[in-house]
Amino acid sequence: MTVVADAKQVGGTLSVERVVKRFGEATALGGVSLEIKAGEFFTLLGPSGCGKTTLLRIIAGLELPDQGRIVLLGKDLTGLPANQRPVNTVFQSYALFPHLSVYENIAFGLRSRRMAPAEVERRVKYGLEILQLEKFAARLPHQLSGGQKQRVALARALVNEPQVLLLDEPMSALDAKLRAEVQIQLRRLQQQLGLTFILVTHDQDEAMAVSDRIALMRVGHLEQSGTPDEVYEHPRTRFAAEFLGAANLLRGKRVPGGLEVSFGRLILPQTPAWEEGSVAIRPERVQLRDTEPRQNGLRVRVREAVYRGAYQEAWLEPCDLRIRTGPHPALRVGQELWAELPPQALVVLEE
Amino acid sequence: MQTTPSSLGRLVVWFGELTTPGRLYRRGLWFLLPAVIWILGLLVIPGLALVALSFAERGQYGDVLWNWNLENYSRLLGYGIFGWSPDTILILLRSLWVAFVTTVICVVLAYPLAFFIATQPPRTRYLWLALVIIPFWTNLVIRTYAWQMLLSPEFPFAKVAQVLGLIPADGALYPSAFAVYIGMVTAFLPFVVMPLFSSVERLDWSLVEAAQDLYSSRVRTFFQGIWPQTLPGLTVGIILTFIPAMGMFVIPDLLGGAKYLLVGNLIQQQFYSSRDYPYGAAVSLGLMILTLFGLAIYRRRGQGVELV
Repeated sequence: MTVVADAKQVGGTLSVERVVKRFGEATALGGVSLEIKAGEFFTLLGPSGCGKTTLLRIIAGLELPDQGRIVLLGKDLTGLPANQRPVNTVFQSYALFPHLSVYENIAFGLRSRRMAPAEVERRVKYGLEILQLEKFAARLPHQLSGGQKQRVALARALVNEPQVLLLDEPMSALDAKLRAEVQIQLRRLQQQLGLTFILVTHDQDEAMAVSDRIALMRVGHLEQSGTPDEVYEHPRTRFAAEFLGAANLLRGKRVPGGLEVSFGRLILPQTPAWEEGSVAIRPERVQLRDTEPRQNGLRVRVREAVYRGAYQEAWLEPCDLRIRTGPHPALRVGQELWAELPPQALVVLEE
Repeated sequence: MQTTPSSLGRLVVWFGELTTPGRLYRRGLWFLLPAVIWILGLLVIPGLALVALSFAERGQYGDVLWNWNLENYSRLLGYGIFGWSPDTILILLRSLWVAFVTTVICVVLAYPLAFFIATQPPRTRYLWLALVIIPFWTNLVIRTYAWQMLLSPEFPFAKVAQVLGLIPADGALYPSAFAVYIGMVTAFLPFVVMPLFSSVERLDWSLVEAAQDLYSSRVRTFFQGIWPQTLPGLTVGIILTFIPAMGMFVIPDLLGGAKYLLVGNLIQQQFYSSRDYPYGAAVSLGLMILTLFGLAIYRRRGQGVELV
């Protein structure tokens, strides 16, 4: 083995350089470039078929790119087989060895590298401890619950002290409540260990909850990347605005000082580069008013109102404007009131 | 009879009837009756008769004299009128050996074959599988005679062997141990390929990827990621080959000749030409013990995996 994780070094910088991958006629990745910093929790987010899993598998060495390079800490990994990369994966199905105990599953990578028995024991004990699996060490995978299996898969990868840990939708098999818990634990673990994590998910809530940075992918290319709040507050495209959270899209023509839309004129925070295009506003940024606001006001009627506990959601006419607000007495079907679209809440989208 | 709910234990509803699982279970036992009669009448009772018969003696005209002795068993161990000879023990050991070697060759051939077939695109996959099974639709005796033809002096196989000096200039490849193995392996190969194929088809390849991801060499990836997953199919294949191979008599009879007798032939001789039923019974029981012995070794080596 040529490259194996250096035990003391944690968290490597990973560059993905213009990676192209085709499966027959279909292009899974059309030249994706990414820069992932050391110790970062990075998420590849996108709908199914966007190429996020393919990219993860290319980083793991389970798939070869047709073009492009994978560089870890200045070292080109592109041609290196999976078993020689200082990178470990938590598989979506966990892929625990059914004939091996929890202990042996966790020791697997260490034994592959012929580590000294004392060191194997030390590391497995550590892995069992940080994921609270001590009680289950002697069990076989089929005797574990989904959450326990997931922790074993995580421990099995972590004890190798990989420079980058890859997680392929590791929470998709867990129920919603457990998933929320595991997200927090995963985030905490990553910060505690200071490792570079790359997570693949199609769940935007999950991506926002755990990530330092998110890369939003769409049909084989990178749509937008940035911190969760950057991507959420400043989506660049219509796809980004709609995939990450809910968004109202308003179409119109550019006029001096704003945008001409179906119900009037909107003042924008910046002048768009296009003649005709869209702006987006998040439902929770729409303000409800009893009197006509000074700017960007719109007379609306409540078409539908839904009580969601923590907030209220409503669809307003015209424009099918979706809003979210705290308790609001006027939010009854048929009620007429004013909505304000504050200029700083409007995001000009690229065409 | 009226029963109180508490005495019924857990209640279930079965086609509108309120009853207990225990009652349903007892009622279901009647469905086992045909199988029980079958096994009792055709396996247990004849088996016991065979045990009894093995302690009897052959009469002068092939009849059975019930004079309870261990004569047949001492013959089985090689003691005859002319003192001890290793012949019967050799036949038994040779049978064990032939069954073992046949099984090993079948496994070695079937393993790559099963992988090849299972990784073909679905449309051609079943075509390949059919090719493995088709010979199987021909009667074993006919197939074995076909091998006699193919291995006879004027056919290319023998010609090649003649040129290479492996056999005399006008010799045939049968009767010989080689011919027996050819016949046995071709007869039993489908029995290993089929169950193995079904294991390989359902193989979870993510375990292979996990092994690679966890720094395994190719060898380790195979033995940890693939091999354990194929064990169930392999086990079925081994049992389906080893047991019938132990008792096979058609193939050694037609392809092995008099010098390559197996225990199956010995038993057949006792019940036909020699008309020595008691000795035939003793040899049959010897074969049964030997087969169980072979499986026990396999089971011990399989550690923890449920094999039989």
